[in-house]
Amino acid sequence: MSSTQRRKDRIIVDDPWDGRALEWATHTPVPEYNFAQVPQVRSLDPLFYEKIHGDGKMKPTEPLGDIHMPNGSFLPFMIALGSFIAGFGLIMKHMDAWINPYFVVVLGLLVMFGSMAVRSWKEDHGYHITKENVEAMEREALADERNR
Amino acid sequence: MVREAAHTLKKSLLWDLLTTVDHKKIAILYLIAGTLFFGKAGLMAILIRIQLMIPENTFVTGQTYNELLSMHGTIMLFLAATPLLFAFMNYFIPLQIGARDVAFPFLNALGFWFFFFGGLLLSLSWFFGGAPDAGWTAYVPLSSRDYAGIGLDFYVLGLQISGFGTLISGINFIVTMITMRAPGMTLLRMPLFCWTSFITSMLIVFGFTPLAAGLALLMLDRMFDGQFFLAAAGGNAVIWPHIFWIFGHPEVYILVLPAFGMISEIIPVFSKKRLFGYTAMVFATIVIGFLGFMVWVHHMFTLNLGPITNSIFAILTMLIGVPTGIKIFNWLFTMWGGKLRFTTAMLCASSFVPTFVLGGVTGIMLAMSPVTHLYHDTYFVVAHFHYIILGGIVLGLLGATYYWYPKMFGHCLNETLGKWMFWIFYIGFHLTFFIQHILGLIGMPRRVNVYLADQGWDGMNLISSIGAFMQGVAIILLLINVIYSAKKRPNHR
Amino acid sequence: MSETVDVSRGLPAHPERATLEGKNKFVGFWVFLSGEVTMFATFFGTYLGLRNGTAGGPEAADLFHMPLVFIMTMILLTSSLTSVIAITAMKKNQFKKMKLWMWITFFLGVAFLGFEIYEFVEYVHYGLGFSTSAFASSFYSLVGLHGAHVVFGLGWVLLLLIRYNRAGITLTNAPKFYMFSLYWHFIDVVWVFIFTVVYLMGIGGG
Repeated sequence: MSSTQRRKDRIIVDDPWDGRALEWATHTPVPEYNFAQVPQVRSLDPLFYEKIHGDGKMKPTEPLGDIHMPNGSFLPFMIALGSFIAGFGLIMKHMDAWINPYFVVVLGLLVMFGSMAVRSWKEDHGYHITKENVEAMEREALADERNR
Repeated sequence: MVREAAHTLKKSLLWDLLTTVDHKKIAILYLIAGTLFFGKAGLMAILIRIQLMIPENTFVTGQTYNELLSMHGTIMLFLAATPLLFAFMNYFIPLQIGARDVAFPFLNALGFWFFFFGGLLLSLSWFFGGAPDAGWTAYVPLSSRDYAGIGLDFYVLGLQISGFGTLISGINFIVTMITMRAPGMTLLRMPLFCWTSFITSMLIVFGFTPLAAGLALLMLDRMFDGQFFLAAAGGNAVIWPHIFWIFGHPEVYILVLPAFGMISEIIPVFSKKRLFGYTAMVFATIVIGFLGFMVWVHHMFTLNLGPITNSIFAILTMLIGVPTGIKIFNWLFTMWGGKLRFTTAMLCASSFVPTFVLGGVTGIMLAMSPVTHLYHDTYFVVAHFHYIILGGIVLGLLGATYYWYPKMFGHCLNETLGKWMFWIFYIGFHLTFFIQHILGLIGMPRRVNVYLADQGWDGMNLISSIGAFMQGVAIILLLINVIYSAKKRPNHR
Repeated sequence: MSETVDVSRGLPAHPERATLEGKNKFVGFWVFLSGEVTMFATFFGTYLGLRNGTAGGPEAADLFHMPLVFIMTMILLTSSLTSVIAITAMKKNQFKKMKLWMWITFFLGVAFLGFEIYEFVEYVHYGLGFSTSAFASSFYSLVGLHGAHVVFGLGWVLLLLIRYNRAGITLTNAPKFYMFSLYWHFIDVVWVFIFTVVYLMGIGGG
């Protein structure tokens, strides 16, 4: 069995507790865009409201379309790593280090602020999941749900 | 698979986790990291209880005991409770308000990695000459260069870095809930978990920044020969407790408010009723958040700041009982006449209520500044804040785990194992900490590593330790449940 | 998001808040600044608690040289004004004018920083090292924290000015310039408090 297949088999419930809030209105597993169409909220406990007064599904507020998503980035890791190196360098002041602690501090700060500058310099507009892909993913999720 | 391969090239799982900005994956990262730190600090608690199990025990040395004690507190508050709550906040705030992601996905990842590397730095202290040993409060002059070793340097910088992460995440959550709500999701339709997380994030913004300043002062004192806290050069040691508790008291609410929110999500679902007094709950949360900043001196009653100061802070502290009481009654009235289903999540949520009341009542006792001189620095205080933190935050977290697990991983946790876990944990918890009230009242001081026999403390300490082992067993049962359920895939409805 | 705003007939009235990302940054930056306020407040409180702890070292009244501090204050206040002019130009889509005033802001900031370094060096010559007394530590940490903010702001605006030298005003960079100006105003306000609490109260006793 492929790992994807195994993961799919493990997923057997969408709304086990008869939930009330919006998180139970998403597919399980939650797609990366969460909601294919942003839902219209009509009350407190919006999903429960739709279960009583509607058909149990959230009404959409927009037609199905391309969905804009942010790109992943390695820079958060680098920025935090820089702060870690700088912090460790400061602590090295109180160790018998074979290297000048301030060298480590400066190195850490360079990594940290350098990565921040890269983030500022490079414009990252993210990407779009096309309407066709969203439709395909939604169809697949619904088919999975019917098979459960 | 369209769903898997929708846009990306083939990425390895590790690279995906290192670069992800998806709030759901970051939540899983928080969950894993938080669980590891929770396990580590929990193990330290067990070691502490082994040392105190019998009088004059020599299981660990005094120095090791101090390190265990300090690291237990520091890790539990900064590196276990915070990320575990952040895991659920990250996963469910966008889903509950109908958003596709948080406001700043990049900053979300940045917050996690700051937290992670801060925690790593703090943990490295074990390998470089000893962990911090001045308590989680790190009072000066105990934490100064003269009295504390390199461990405190790790404390200062580790917490500074992980604090950045917490602050960034707090700002992110606030903006998410202000600008990213779905159409029709007005502020007073936000689920209570979102509301409490919102107030928590506010407290983070106004609480973690004084901590950052205080840690910076301590760092300057220790590393660059600053003179902030040394009386010889005109400094003043009382500045540190002030700054620390201006952060430290809101920190309690930072942790417990999201737990309130989780309870407020779970109880209506398993009572099949809408939350009683939703608006009152929202305003009680806001009032608690506001008052949380007005009471820090109640941690310093014995510092002799004068009767007027002490009285004002005593009254303000007792005032917090009012909005908290509103919440307690609202939970009770939500359950009243409801169609109750006692799943593990509901067991945790409903048992949270009486446990938290006990912690609140002892809080009122401690708020009376004249009497507090009797309880101060005894096991009574230890019992009090463990009722808030374990009986409040951890029960909330356990309930939320059982409640939201199916949404996060696609299958429920086993209910039989879950109920075993709950009862062992709950009984163990009360065994450990209820008796510590009495231990404190008859005079056992906190933060001691040994005590003499035949003072009437022996039996109670033994019982307390047995309770601690039961809690450890319960947490192991939870981990077994996670593995077992992944194989068996129970579906409870 | 940015693609949903129609820019074919020029920029909208508030280019910094026209997109969802811009709006998020706008709200988020205000929240961030409110956190900065409490951080500076803590340093101010520490300074107020320790300013009499001179331990026999130099005291505030012996040291502070008001003409210098007055010039510094004027420079920083003017730089705040020039950043306002730059943002006004940005809202009217006058890119060259905005760039000019941002550069002026930058150089005023550099001048301020130069004076501050000169000031610190002078005080060290008078015998006020960082470790001399609690007063010295708290003075240097408060004013130095402000100075560090100035350094960060200067690096930030320099990066923006070089990066967007030829770009014109877009919905992507308008929020960035706007956030910088918010930050710069904040630094300015903090300095007004430092001028009052540290320097005026240091000279005038109290």
